[in-house]
Amino acid sequence: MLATKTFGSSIRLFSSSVVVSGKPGCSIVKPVHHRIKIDKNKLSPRFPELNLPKTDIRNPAFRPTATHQDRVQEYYHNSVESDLLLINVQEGEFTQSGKKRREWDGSSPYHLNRPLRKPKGSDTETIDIKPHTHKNIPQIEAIHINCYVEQAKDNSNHALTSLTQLQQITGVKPKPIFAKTNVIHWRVRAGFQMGASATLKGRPMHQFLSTLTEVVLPRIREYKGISNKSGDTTGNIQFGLTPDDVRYFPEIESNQDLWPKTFGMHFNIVTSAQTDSEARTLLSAFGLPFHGSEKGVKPENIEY
Amino acid sequence: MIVLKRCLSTASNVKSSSQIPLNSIKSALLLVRQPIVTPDLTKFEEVYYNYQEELERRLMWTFPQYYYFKKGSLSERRFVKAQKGPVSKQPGVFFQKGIPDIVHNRERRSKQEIIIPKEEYDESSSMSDFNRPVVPNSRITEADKTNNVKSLERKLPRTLHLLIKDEKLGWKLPSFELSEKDKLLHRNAEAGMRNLGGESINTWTVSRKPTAVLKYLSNKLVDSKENSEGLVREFIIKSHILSGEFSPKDIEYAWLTKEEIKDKVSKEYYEATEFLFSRV
Amino acid sequence: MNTINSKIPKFQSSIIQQIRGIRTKKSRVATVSTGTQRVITQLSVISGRKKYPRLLKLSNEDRIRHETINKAWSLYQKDLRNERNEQLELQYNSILNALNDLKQVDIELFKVANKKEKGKRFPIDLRIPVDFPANKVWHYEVKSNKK
Repeated sequence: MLATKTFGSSIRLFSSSVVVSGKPGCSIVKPVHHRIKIDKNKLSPRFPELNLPKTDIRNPAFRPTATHQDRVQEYYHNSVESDLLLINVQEGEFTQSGKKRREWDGSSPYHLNRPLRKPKGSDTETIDIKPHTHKNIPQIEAIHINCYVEQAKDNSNHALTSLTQLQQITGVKPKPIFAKTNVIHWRVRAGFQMGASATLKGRPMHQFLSTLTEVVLPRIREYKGISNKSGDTTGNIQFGLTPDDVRYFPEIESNQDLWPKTFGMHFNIVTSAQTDSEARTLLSAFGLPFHGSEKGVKPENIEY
Repeated sequence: MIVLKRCLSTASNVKSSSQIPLNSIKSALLLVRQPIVTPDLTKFEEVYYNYQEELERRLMWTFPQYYYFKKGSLSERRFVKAQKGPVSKQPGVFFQKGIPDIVHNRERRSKQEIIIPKEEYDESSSMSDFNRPVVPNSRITEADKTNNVKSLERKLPRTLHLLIKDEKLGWKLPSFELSEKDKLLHRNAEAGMRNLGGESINTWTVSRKPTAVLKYLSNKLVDSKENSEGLVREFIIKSHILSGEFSPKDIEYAWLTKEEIKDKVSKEYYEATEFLFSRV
Repeated sequence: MNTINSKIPKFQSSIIQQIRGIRTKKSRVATVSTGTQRVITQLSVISGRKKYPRLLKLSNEDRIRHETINKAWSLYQKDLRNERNEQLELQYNSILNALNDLKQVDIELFKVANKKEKGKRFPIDLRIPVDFPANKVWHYEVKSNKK
């Protein structure tokens, strides 16, 4: 009896410390327990317009999208699409399954509950290649721009300037990027702001693509083109621009005195093509040049 | 032994199928000139884009003029002079259109109108070439006015397709008989077109594949699924004209849009080939 | 000058003196370096502070009008899309039909035609259409002719 009394009054378990402190251990706004994270600001009745979709004109975040004729998109639909269909379609195609994780053979009792074996000849799984039809003609889906500024570790102002640079050349609001881990060798600490990134889709993407292929790339001296070796095997193509190349963007070039320093950047063009080879064919239709030897293609067969 | 037998059997199969004489296969060429200017907007598109653009301008942030024009510079003075400033709020004044709400020299209740200062264009000055006002060329060319169907400069917003007039079959896509030398379909089509229209032409063959097949039975078009004896087949290869000119000596030809093709060719021919021609 | 100043409450006039957008009091000397000032200006360009216009306030009638316009547009886009897809489907069927036919007629030609075209590139001369034509609409002289 005495023991329990002392236990109840003076000695306290960790699990009960929340109760003692007088704070609830869980949310008191309904729904209280939920597996899915709920943005509880949306539950407030104060601004019902904020809960509407952003395409609704009553939402304060509403922005119209189709504000002008999209000549790149129209070019794709009117000319490129049917040509790509003709290039890609083959008779007698069937789904080629990619490399998948394998079962263990069960020869050892330790195979039970073990994660599946790696695919044969590869560390990661690869996608299935489906027959090419009129329903899966490749098209450009997004352009990711990543601008990592190495000097930002010493002077974070550079990271801020790179944000503005990206905003100026793309016209969309960029996001800052931060170092994820400590890299002692580079003198980078986790949490340092290291540059900017942006994702372009739709009209801004087409605008950017046409600026790139019509204004910037033709003026770069001795620019050979995107490497034919570039690509992530699933139909996305990567390339980069140096700080000097970025100066050819008209927004930067016409305000030269505002830009004593420019920053290079990496581009990842996301396409719905199934292989890199098809993605390159698609991109060449928009005027992006390619150079170098391509894997699995004899040099005499490449048509430039 | 079994393997050998199988080999032989397939080989004989191939032989039997390739017994069809070479002169019953033809390659046809769908030569396309891409649009040079953007498609014409319909009335609906025009007004919709206008509406959306006005909405966007209304919702746009204020133009950060201080960033682009250095304070106290000549360019800033010129820019500020060109702007029509907003009506500012003053005590004791009645404003018919509501009390002005001005932040950073912008009326927040309406779109901001930015006027780019234009300099006087002087032909004699040395900078004249740089400051020359931009005058766009007309989207309607001479060829449109004279309706010259043989010109490649007609109908700039539309895709043009090359058609020639055959004595027996009327207007159709140019087709060429396969020869032993240029046996491959795409090579034969390109070579045949050059024989007909001269070498001064730069084209790009889209693919080695035919995009369609047309079948004739004694000079009459039959269904493309038809499979009887004595058919003459035309495999259509698609190609783009990039530069140069198709200038044949003694045949009639025309560069036509889809609607014009419908008027020129026979009804059966149009039905069989309609989907090949670009809508725009 | 004095009369205007006397109308502004004392605590306001001590902080900032503004008469119709013209500052009458000298601003304090900037304490930041030019480099930092440039970054501050750059950040202010991409931030929306003091740049937001007023929110749209549409009457019910206006909102319905807006929604009707948008509905009409999406229906129009849908029609265009369907038309495109139908044409592509016809083209697809026609390509397969032609290839199957070629297979029956001449297996050699079929093998060449049905080969996967890796390394295929659109020529650099094919351009995205522009709003107005160039001074020289069409190039009649041929620069390079491979074939």
